[in-house]
Amino acid sequence: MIRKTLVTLALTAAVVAATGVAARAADTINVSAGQKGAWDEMVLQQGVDAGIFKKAGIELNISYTAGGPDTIQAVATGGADMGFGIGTTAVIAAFAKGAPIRIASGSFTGTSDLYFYTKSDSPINSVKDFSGKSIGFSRPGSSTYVAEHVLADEQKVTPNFVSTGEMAATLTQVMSGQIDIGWAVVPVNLDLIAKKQIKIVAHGSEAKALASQAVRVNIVNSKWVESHRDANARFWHAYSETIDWMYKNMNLSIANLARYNAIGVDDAKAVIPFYPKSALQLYPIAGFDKSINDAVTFKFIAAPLSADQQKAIFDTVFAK
Amino acid sequence: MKRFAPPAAIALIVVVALLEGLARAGLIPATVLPAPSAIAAGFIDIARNGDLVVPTLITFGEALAATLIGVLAGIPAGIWLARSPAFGQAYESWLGGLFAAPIVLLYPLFLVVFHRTNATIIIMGAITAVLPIIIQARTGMLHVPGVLKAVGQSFNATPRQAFWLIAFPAAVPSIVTGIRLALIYSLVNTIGLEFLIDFGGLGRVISDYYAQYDIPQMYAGIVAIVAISVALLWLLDRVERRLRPA
Repeated sequence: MIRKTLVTLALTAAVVAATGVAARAADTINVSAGQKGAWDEMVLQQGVDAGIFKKAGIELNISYTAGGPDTIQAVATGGADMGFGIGTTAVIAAFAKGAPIRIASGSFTGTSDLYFYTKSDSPINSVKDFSGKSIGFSRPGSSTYVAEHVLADEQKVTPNFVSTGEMAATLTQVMSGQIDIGWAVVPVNLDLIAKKQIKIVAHGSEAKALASQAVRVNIVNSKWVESHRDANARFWHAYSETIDWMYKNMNLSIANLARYNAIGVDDAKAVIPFYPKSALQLYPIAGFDKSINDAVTFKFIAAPLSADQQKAIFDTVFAK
Repeated sequence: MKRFAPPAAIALIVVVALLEGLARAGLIPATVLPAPSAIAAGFIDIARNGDLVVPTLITFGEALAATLIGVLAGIPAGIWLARSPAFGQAYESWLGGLFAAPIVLLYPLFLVVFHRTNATIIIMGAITAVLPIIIQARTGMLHVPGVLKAVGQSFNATPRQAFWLIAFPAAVPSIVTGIRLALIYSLVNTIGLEFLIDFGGLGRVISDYYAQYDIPQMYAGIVAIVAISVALLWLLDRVERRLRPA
């Protein structure tokens, strides 16, 4: 009887050892992201659909927010373990004010995904025409907020900056004539451009100072990461692998993007030039000093982060 | 409204002291609820930044204007529905349903019509305010005690006298209940809309501080809203005392 039991135990151990990761219970991670539908914000869903996170023993609960502040609040209060695609200045401000968050990786470098538009019959045709016109941004501290201010400073124009909220609300305000210039990231509104209802008057990439700056970053809850170092590391390797997979399997990832946004494959394909792979680099986080300066300039923080704070904010940064 | 009784003040002090203790002990994260002392400092901060007095007046004015529109439209409508039983019965359930509906979600539509202006906030607030006033005015007029009506008849009161001297004063408590609800709902609607469209008074201020992760300042804005609510209800209490039959 004893020998029988020992044999059974030995067989069970052998099966467990052989199956390895597959036998381990998956770690569930709650993740929160803004701008649902954008190429870089859908990396999470692409990774889930491609089975990459499952292979890493990670199960994701993905939720989408209205923007960076909501994502920060979700992560800071522990409602989410990780947050994605948040304006770097807003993250710096929240960290400096005591939010228990850390920057885990870059999210988007440059502003090539962003564009500004007007109604088709608008006399505005370029940034040079922005002076005295109203231009929408999502929320203070967001990447759109920073990009517009940098663009205006560089081209020496003085538009009126108006917080218009997310992209659908911004479009409503542009089409009803409440503001002159709206913002969006591709693929949003590309169908309206094709129908000539709106026209692009400026690209985010025109903000030269931001070309080599990580305008959005990904964050983690500092308490969560302390007790989940292993899951955190596995997650970021899977996330990085997903980005590689998306660019290697372009047809499939474009088809996925079309499905997520309920748009045609051709429209989804039009998105890709706005998202060079280098823009999605996780590490290093480019131009962080400039982001700190932006946070001070836009009065998100009173003084630059100290050397200790700059070290602490990257405590968990993902290094490939 | 009851006077600010000492027990209420003591209870407030106890709650504030308790929150302060819990926050200082780290039992409540500052990212969720800062210590009351931090909120007090935030209050001073937003006052210094010019984000207190003018935004408070704007929000107060918007909520008051919305409620006044609700009063001016709601009381006559409620009285008319009370006097027109067929219409009253027909619309009663509709009004109740609308009152429970989250009208604030219609803000994109109102933005198109009234644009990103105070008018959008006031009109949406007025729509929220008018519903409880109509319902309560109708209820008040329908429940005038029969004995009061009989007294009017025994004194040969004209219809105008019966209305102004008997029915309307008897309905005042119910109407005031409606106005009280209207004030609360219009204030909530006003703040919510200001927050959503980042425009106007304290809702915009709270939205801005929230976006900058200035949590104590954000709570200071919320405290200012509570102060507005208390002020509006105090104002209503004074009006009610004047209108209510002795």
